[in-house]
Amino acid sequence: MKESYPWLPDTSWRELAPFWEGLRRGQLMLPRCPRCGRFQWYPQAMCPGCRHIGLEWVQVAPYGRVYTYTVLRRSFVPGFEGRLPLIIAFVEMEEAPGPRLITNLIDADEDEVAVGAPVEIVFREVGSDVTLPFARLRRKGGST
Amino acid sequence: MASLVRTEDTLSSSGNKVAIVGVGETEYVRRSEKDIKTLIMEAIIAAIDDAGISPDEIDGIVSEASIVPAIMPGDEVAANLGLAETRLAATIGCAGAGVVGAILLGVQAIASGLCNTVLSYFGVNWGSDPAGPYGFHGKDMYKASLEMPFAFYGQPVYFAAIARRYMHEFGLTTDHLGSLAVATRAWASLNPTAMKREPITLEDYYRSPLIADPLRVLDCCLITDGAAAFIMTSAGRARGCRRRPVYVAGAAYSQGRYSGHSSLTQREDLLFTQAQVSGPRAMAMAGVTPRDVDFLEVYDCFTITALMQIEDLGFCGKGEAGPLVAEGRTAPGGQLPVNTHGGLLSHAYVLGINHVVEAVYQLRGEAGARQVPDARVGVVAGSGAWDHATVVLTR
Repeated sequence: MKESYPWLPDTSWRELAPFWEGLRRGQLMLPRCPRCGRFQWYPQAMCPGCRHIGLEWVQVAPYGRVYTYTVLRRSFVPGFEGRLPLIIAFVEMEEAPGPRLITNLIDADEDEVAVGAPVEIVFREVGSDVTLPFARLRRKGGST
Repeated sequence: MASLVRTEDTLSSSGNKVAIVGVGETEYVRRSEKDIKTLIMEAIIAAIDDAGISPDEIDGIVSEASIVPAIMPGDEVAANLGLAETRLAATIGCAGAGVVGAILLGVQAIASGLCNTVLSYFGVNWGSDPAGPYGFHGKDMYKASLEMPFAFYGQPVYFAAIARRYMHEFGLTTDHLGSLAVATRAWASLNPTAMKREPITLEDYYRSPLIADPLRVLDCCLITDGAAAFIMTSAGRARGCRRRPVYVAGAAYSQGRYSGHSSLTQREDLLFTQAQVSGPRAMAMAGVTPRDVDFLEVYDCFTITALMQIEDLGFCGKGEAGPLVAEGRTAPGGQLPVNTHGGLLSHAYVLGINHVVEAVYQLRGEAGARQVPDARVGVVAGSGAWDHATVVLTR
C-alpha cells in the first residue's frame, strides 16, 4: 500500500512474535495446548482447559466463516477516515475451533457480508516487516 | 438457583443488615469547568451531608477497580477528607460492574464488623479529557496488536459486533434497539438533572447517524463530566441518620473466565453477560424474584447492553427484551420501569453510580415526576467487559 497504514502493531512484543513471523511467511499461526489440543486466543501462560503451562504455535489453514461483523462509519482510530465504510469481521477458523480473528473484509461490498459467510484469510504487507491478515469472501466457483 | 447462594450470603439477619444512608451527585455536563478531583470531592461532601454523619465516621472506602485508581484513588480521597485512619480501601471489577460491585465490598466490610461506615464514589471527566472514554482501552497490548490495526476500537464498535450476532441468533431488530432509546429518553424527560431531556421518537432514532452498523448515535450513552458518591453503614447506625435508610437486601458480583479485551471478542457465549449469574444470586439472597421488583436500573452503555441484561437478569427469556421494550413495558407507566432517571443513554454517563443514586431516590420516594408509585424493591445492575454485579435494594 502506498499511503502509510493508519495503525501498525508493535511486532517486537514477544507474546505475539510467532503470529507476526507466521504472517510474514504467509502462514496463519495460532497457539494451541500441546497436551489437550485446545486453541487459546488470545494467548496466555496456561491452558484454561487442562491447566498445562506453555502453548505451542501451529499453522492453521486460512479458511473460516464470519461469526459477526459491523460496517464502520466512524473510526475511533485516527487515520482510517479515508477507508470508511470499513467492514470489520470476526472470523472463526475451520481448523481451529474457538479463536475469532478480528479483521477487515476486503474486496467486498457491505451488502455482500453476512453472518456465516465463508472467507479466506489473505496476507498483506502494510508496513516494513509488518504483514496483517485480512479476509476475503470465498465466492461460489471462485478461488484466489 | 439455590446453588448460587451459600447460607453465609444471606443478609436478612438484622444484626448485619447494611443500609445506604446518603447519596450525592455533582451536576452532569459535557464539559465541566472543574477538574475531576474537585467534582469527586463535591459529590462525596454532598453524600456525607445527605446522610447527616460526620466525615470522621468513614472508616472504609470502596470503588471500581479499572478506571478510578488512575483518576482518584481511595487514599487520595482519604487525604482530602483528612481521615486519620481508614481500615479498608478496596476496589473491585471493571467499569459498571465495579461501580455496583463496590456495594458488595461495603456490605462485606460492615457485616463482618471490619468497618462501621463505608464511602463509595465514582467520577469521570471523559467529556473534557481529549482521550475520552476510549483512552484507557488503547493500553491493552492485545487490543493494540490484534484489533486496532483493523479499526476495531471504541466501545460502540465492540457492541455493534455483538448486536449484529444477536440479531442473527435471537431475532433482535433495530426497532427493538430504538425503542429502548425512546423509552429511556421518556424517563429522562421527567428528570431535571438529565443531560438529554427532549423526548424522541423512533423516527428521530432512525435519523441519528450510524456509527458502526447497526448502532447509531442514539444507541450510545452520553459523554459526561461528573461524579457521585454514597454512604453505607449498619442498620443500627442508619436509624440515627438524616434520611430514611435504603437497605441492601442482596449483592452479587460475578467474574467470567475471560480477561481484558478477549472478553469482548473471544468469549464463546459472547451474547450472554455475567448478569445471568449475579442477577439470580442477588435476588435469591434478597428472597425476591423478578416479579417482585418494582423498578430496574440497568447498565445501558448501549441499547444492546441493556437489552441483554434485562434478559440475563431473569426478567424475560433470551430474545424477549426487545419486544418487551417495544411494547412500552419499561417506559413511564409500564409494569417494569427501567432506568427511571434516563440511564447512561440520556441522564449521564458516570458508569452507573447514577443508577445507584436513582434507586435510592426511588426507594425514599424522592423521585418527583418520575417516582414509581410505592416503590419497595429495586434492582441495580452494573456491567463491565468480563464481569457483572447486581444489587437488590429495599426500603
